[in-house]
Amino acid sequence: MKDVPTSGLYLFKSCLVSTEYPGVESSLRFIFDRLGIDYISDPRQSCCSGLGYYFDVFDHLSTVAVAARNLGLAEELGYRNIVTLCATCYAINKNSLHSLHENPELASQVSGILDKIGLSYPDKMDKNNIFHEVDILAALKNKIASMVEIDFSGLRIASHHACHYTKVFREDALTDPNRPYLIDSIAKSTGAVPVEYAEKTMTCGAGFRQRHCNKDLSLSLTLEKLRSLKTAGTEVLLHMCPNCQIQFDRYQPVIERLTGEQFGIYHLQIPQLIALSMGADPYTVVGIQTHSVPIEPLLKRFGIKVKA
Amino acid sequence: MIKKSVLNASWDGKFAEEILEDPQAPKGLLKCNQCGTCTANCPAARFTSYNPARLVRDVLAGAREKVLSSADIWQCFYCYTCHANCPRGNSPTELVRILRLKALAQGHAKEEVARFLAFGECFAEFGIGGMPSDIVESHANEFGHRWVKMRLHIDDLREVLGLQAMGLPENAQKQLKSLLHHTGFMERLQRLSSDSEICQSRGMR
Ligand code: SF4
Ligand code: SF4
Repeated sequence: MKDVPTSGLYLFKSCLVSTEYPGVESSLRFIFDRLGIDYISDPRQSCCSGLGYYFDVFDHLSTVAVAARNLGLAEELGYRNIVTLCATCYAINKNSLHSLHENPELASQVSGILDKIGLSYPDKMDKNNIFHEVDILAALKNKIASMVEIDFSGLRIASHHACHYTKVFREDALTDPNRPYLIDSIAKSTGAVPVEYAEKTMTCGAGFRQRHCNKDLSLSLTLEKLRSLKTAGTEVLLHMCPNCQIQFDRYQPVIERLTGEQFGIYHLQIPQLIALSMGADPYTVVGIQTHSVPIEPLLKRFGIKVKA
Repeated sequence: MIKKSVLNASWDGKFAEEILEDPQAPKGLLKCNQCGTCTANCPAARFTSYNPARLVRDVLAGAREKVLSSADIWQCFYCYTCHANCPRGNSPTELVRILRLKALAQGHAKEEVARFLAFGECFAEFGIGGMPSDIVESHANEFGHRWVKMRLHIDDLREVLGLQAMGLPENAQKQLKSLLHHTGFMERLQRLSSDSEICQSRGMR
C-alpha cells in the first residue's frame, strides 16, 4: 500500500470546486486545521485544464506543460505532496508526470518551455506525489473518529467513487474500481451506515462533453444510478469529485421534473460530511447554500442549527 | 442478405502502426483478443450503438475512414472502465482520445469541440476554465434561480467561506499565457475555431 503523507501538502485548487461547491475546499481546510495538518494554498496555481483536455480542446503537450508549471511551483515551495479535491485534477496531474517520466523527448520539450518563461521543471516529483483528498482522509480516519461532535449514527449513506480516481491509475487507488469502498470506510468514522447499490461502479453520466452535447444519454445513466440508489434506501450520496456532484446534486431535480419520479437524495462531498460531523458551520464552512438539493432538512434531523 | 464488411474500399493496413507512433497510444493495442470485456462494462455501449471492442477491431483491420468519420467515437464518456479492466493491457479510452484528435486534425468533427473552445480561451485569460455562454444559459434554465443567484454572488460566497479570490496574480497569468503560446495551444484554438459557425455565438462564462 502506498505511503500517504499528512504534511507538506499542496492543496490543489479545482475550477469546479471553486465555482460550484467552494464549501468542499473550506471543509477540507477546516478538517486539516483541526487536525494540525501542514498544507499550503498557492494563488499562482492554475486550474489543471483537465475539462479542456476531455472536451478534446487541449492537446497533450499543453496539458502536460500546464501540469509541469503547477507542479514546479509546488516543488519550489517545498510542498511536494499534491492533494486534489477533484478526480480529474488527480488523474491529469498523475498522467502528466507519468508521461514526462516515460517520454524523455516530451520532458525536454516541456522543460525548455518552462525555462523560457522563467520557471523550474519539477524534476524531484513523480506520479506518486499526487494524492486525492480521500487518500489523506482515509489515513486520518481514526483521528477524525475521535473528534466527532455530531454523530451520524443510523444515517444511510452510499458512495460514488469517481472514475478518474479508481480507474485511470487502478494500481494507485486505495480501493478496487469494481468493488469500491474507500469513501464508505471514511464515512463510517462519523457513525454513518454504508449501503451497497447495484450501479455503484457505473460512471456518473457527465462524460465531459456528453452532459452538454448528448444530454439524453448523459441523464439516462444518472437516472439508472438514482433508481438503484433509491432501491437501496440511500439517504445521502457521498462524492469525491465536483463534476460527479454537479451531475447528481444539480441534475437530480431536473431528472425528477422530467420523469415525475422522486429521489430525495442529499449529495455531499466526503469532506463536507466529515466537517459537519466535526462541528463545522453549514454556511460559513460547509457552504451548503451553493447546493441545488437543500441540505437543511437532513441537518435539522441531527440537531444542527440551520437558517429557516 | 449479404452484409457489408468493415473492410470497404478505403482500408489502410498501416493505421494501427500509425496510432502506435503516438506516445499516448495504449501499449496493448495489438494484443486485443476481442474478449469483449470492455463492451460488457461500457456505459456508452449500454445505451447507444457504440461498441469499444468493435472499434478496436476496426482500427486493427485498418478501417481508417470509417473510424475517423464515425459519430461513435464521440459517444465515449472517458470513464476509463474499459481501461481499468482490459485483460490485455489495451485501453479503448486512450484509443478514443487519439482517434478524436486525429479526426479533428483532419478537419472532421470540428463542430464536436466548437462549443468548448471558450473553455480554452477563458483558461488562457484567467487561469481557470469557464463554460461558454450557451451552456451557462442552458444551466440557468435547468438549475433555476437558486443556481443563478449563487453564481452571481460566488465571489462573496467564497469570502464568507474564507477562501482566496479566484484568478491568478497578474504575473503568474502572463507566464501561463506565454506557456500556452509556446506549446502551440493558442494556434490550436485558432485552427479549431476557423470555419465553424457555432463559434460565432460563443462567449465567456
Ligand atoms: S477488453 Fe481489451 S482485449 Fe478485450 S476486447 Fe476490449 S480491448 Fe480487446
Ligand atoms: S471510457 Fe469510453 S469506451 Fe471505455 S468504458 Fe467508458 S465510455 Fe466505454
